Amino acid sequence: MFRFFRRPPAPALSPVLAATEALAPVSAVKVLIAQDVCHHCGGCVAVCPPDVIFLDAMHLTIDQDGCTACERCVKMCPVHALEMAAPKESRHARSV
Amino acid sequence: MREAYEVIVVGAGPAGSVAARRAAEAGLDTLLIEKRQEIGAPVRCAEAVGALATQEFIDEDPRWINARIDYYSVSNRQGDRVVVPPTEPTWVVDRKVFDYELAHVANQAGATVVTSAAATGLLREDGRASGVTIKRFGKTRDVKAKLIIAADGTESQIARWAGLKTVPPMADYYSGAQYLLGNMAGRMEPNRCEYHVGMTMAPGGYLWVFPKSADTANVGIVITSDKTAGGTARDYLDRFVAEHYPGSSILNVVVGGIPATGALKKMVTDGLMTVGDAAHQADPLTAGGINLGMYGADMALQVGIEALRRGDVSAAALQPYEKMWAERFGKMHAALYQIRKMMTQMNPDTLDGLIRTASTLDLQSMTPGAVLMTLLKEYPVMLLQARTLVTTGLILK
Repeated sequence: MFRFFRRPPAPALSPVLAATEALAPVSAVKVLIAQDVCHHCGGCVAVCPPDVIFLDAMHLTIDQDGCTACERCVKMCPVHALEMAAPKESRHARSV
Repeated sequence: MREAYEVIVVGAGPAGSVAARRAAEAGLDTLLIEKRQEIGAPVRCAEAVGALATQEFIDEDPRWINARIDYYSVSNRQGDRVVVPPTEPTWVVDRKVFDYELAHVANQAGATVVTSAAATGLLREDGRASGVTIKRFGKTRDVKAKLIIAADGTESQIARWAGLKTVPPMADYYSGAQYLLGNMAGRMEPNRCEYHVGMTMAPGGYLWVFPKSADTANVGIVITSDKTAGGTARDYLDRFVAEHYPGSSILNVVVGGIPATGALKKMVTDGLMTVGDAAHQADPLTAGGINLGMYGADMALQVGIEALRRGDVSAAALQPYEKMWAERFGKMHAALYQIRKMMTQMNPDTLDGLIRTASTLDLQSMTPGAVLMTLLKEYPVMLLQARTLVTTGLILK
């Protein structure tokens, strides 16, 4: 749950701003796709509850706005082509 | 492609091609679309089929039969091995050729086949599915149909756009990976399919070695998607290959997900039927789904053709298909599902021990009941799962 609120609070200008800052998502991107690792098997599409992953014949996309960050696709992926977004730790950030 | 057809089948795997062929054979104006540029590729399958069932749908052809299997074996992590003959002759097939041939037969029966054509949306009229949006070479167009068959595989979006509940629990969804390995001569039997089970090797699933030729084999794994903390399916496969087949070459990589829930309860909606993996018509234990998908397509079209003749493709008119499926496979798949659950929950040592004990028995000369009693005597803990055993014992006789 708190995974997406990781950004360290900025020096407080005002309590309201500080709170807003702390609660803001790190990034709108919740799941990263490594296109060069993906084998286009569609398993992630099948397990995605909000149905926001799309597999064109050979290209995977995620509608990040609808993503609930449930991690099911990441866990299912047989080749680790998907990863939860945590930019500093990402191995695949370049291929977003 | 024209603007309207009587039947549109989305997906040219075995289920989709059989559906299109049945529709065309009934004289219906049929369109079969496949999003990929090539039918059958890339393969997402271990490629073993029961020969008798397959022959109900296509004539035997050496062009797509790679190996003929006389024995199955099940091994534990210590290498104890139980060898059993298959319940029916088994072939290891070349899906690229097999799928292509099935689509070709559909085409010969009169269906229009179009590749590189992706369904990107579902059209509706008065709440009924009435066509699909098809994207091909960058151009998008709407094509109408009286009946839509969703054969778009495990990732079926057509079924979900139509409002069917297809998202499986993670414990009932297999995550799989497979290598076509070379340098396998002498390390496998060319007429034997091997299974390897054990929670440390394949949590929630199993590994397989299916011969493709004298020197090559499909070596793969499925694990359940809730058990990937120790690594992905490919990580587990890499460990198995490094241990058992050092020096082998990886000639091909296949990955995929397979529903192991048993078929969807609700496989139809107004104007639309699902078949194959899209309807979760895979074996809930082994995840095999080629023949099952073709049976599903056959049943769906029996009902669908009749519904079209009467001019009523409402969900109620299409539901006999669900009933037909449940009558033929419902009980057996419920039992296979329970066996998988039992194996998943079993203490790893018990599972290893069962296989060790069974490997010492002369299975060919014993009745299944006698085998069961011997195993129960050795592992009374299995009595805890007696209900499952009784259910499956009754069904598998």
